[in-house]
Amino acid sequence: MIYCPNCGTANRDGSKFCNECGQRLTGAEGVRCPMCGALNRSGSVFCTQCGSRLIAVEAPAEAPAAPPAAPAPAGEEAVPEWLAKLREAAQREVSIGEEAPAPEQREEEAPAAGPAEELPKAPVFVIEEGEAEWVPPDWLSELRARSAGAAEEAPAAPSEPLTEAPAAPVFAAEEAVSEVPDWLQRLRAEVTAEEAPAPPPPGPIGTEAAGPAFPTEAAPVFPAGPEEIPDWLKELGPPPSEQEVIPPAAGPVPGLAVEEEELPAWLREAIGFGEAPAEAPAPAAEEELAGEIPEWIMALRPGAQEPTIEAPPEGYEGDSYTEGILAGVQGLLPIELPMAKPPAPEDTGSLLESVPAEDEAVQIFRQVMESRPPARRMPKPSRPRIGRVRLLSALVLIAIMCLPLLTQGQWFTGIARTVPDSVYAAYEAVEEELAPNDAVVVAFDFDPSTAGEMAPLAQVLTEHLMARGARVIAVSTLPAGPQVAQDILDRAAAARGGKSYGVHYVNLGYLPGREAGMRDFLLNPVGAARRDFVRGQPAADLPALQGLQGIQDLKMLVIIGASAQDVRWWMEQAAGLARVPMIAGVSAAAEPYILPYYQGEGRLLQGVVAGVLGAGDYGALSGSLVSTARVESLQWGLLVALIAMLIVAAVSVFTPART
Amino acid sequence: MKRILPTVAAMVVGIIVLIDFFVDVGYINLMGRLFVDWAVILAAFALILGVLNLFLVHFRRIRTRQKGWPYSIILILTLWTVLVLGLLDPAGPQGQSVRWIFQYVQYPLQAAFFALTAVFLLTAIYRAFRLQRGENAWFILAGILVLLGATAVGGWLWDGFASIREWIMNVPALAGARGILIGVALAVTITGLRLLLGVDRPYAE
Repeated sequence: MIYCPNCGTANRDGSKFCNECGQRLTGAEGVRCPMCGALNRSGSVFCTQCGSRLIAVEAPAEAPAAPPAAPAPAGEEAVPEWLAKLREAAQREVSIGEEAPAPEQREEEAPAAGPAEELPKAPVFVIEEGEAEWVPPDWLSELRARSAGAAEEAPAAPSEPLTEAPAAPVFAAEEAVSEVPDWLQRLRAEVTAEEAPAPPPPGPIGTEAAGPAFPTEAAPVFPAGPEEIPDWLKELGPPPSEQEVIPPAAGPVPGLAVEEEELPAWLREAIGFGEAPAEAPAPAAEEELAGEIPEWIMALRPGAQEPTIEAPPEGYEGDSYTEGILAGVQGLLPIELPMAKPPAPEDTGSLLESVPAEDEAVQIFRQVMESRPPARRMPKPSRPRIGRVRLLSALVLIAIMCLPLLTQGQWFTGIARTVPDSVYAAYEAVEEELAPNDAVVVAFDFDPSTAGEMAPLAQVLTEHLMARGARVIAVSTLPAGPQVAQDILDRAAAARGGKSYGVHYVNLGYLPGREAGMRDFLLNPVGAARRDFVRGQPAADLPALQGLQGIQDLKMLVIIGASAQDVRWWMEQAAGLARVPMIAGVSAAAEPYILPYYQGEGRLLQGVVAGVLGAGDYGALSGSLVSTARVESLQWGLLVALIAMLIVAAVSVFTPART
Repeated sequence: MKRILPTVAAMVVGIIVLIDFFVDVGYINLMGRLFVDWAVILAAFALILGVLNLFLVHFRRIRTRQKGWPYSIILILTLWTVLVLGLLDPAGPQGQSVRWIFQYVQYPLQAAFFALTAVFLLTAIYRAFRLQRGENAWFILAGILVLLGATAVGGWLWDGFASIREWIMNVPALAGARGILIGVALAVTITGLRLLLGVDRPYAE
């Protein structure tokens, strides 16, 4: 449970505001520096940011109402050192030790009160009979227990005997009495005796109705409500629980038995004797608050007074007092308000000093920036020299061109060579599948750039098809393909003889649309081509296309492509329409990507002829002699390439590696 | 609507053409063939547009004197020359003038340009060997063996080179090629599905 510090209402744990009055129940935990505002951990003595001494302003997160009427904690260790010294001095001079009652005596002298359970709702010092059944909150129970223990261990209260306080405030319970320090009890007794205020009605602490147990007219109304305290004071002052503690009443401290005039002004100001010095006027904006806030608090605010050592008070000569209560006290310095005096700034001179190395760097930088670059002529980009690799490449190419001329193409053709299985399968497919006058579509999907390798291959295949008496129908999906195809067809027809264009072979030209054009042509060759490439005749009128309605009328599809992609597109479109025997003639570079369609059980291709070597092998099988010279040149080229590769490998082994 | 309509059209056409592959229903096949015909016509028209765009781009380069604008002049001149000659010749593209240009200009130029790839391959091999990594050793060994198996010299030296070459081509190289082809097939399938489902809309870009 959380008890509201304002009205005392019990709120659930974790509540942030009071259910009854809306008072904030929690706050920032920690100690906020009065100088820089930094939030420090609870218990910090100095600020981690500016080094100022801190005053604990930790807001009570779930603290109940503060114990009443205690300007300082009940323990002795809470008494300032200066006050302890003053007490000792006062004891020596006034010698009131014999009259000081023991705690037990004070308890006996205290008015009879009801049981502890009949304490008022708020820890005030007056109870009414109507609240006899009030149940004390947990915090009060704990406080009682702690106070009881403290009362047993408390030393004899110094100074003023309680017998001199005839009209002491009515303490409701002995626990409450023991909670209040002795000197404060005496102070209360003194004030009550002088002014005898009527006890206020019971109520929660902090409210006007339940104000301090013994307020006086001279004493400021304390504590002020949280909304009446300026922000700076909230930050600087003690937590709300402590703010609600009734401060010592104005006037001399009874226990000290000294007159107000006997104390120095700084001491009266610090401990709250009388009114604040007139020479410390409050700012205009805070004048209104001056009547609400105790002047001793106003005096504590930063900037209200300079923490300077004032002039020696009366009776202070040299380094000691010569008269009054402080006679003989030496070295008693004015209280230096820790929070009002900012810490001495650290010596930052060292930060502005520079080391010689930095000075040197600065000088160099300055020289570089101020100096103008020397005018110099930009070097012209030199032409890249022909490297060894390029020279070697050129020699290889020259050798490839010259060696076949020197050998007349007779060196390698006579050497027996094993024909690859894929080439032989292609030859067998043409031999077995085709009959005279069968329609065969030959796709010439290569252009002049690859014609050096593909043309011999296309020629041997075309010659073989013509030799078998098939009707060769040429198409191409490349714009330059039909021209290349026509050259090959003409040469093949001339080589085989007796073949006429339009009857035994025909060139239908370019098929736009790639896959779509292939599919369209395979579905309806005549409709897709419309006219032939050479003469422009309607395709339907050509004898070579008679009876050809679609792919189902084809006996074979021969795909001659330089790239594997073109060959694959043809295979995909044809296989999706009908099961037509297909063979492929591809470049050597595309061979690895086409061979998978040849191998295996469900092969799409009946055979594959790859590169010039494949053309030579196929020509050797079909009896074509057209590619002999090219095969001879290629053989020389391969040989030179082999030698070059060996040289390069040897060079790379004996030269340092390059990353 | 500007984005939905093309997407719906692409999806409908694609699905119909796809179904045409698998079913033998009259109107589905008819529609499939119709859409394929449209695609062919559009592709041919796109080729014409490409030629016009090429002409405009290089014409703009000449007019603004951009870098390499003289080459643009050569390109436009050759473009119009071949086009005019092909249109004026009664034989069309098989006329003497066009065939002469093809046989003695385009053919050797493209062949020579493609031959440069041999130089690039040779230099690339040399630089790869200079790295002296472990896989390069395997690479050079496989290359030498394949060359020995392919050349007549290899067969003259030892008959086994041909068998080694065939094994290399049919086992390690084929395995790698199959893996690549499977990857390509999967990619094509995914791309087709994304197009059919409207996830990718290259036609809307």
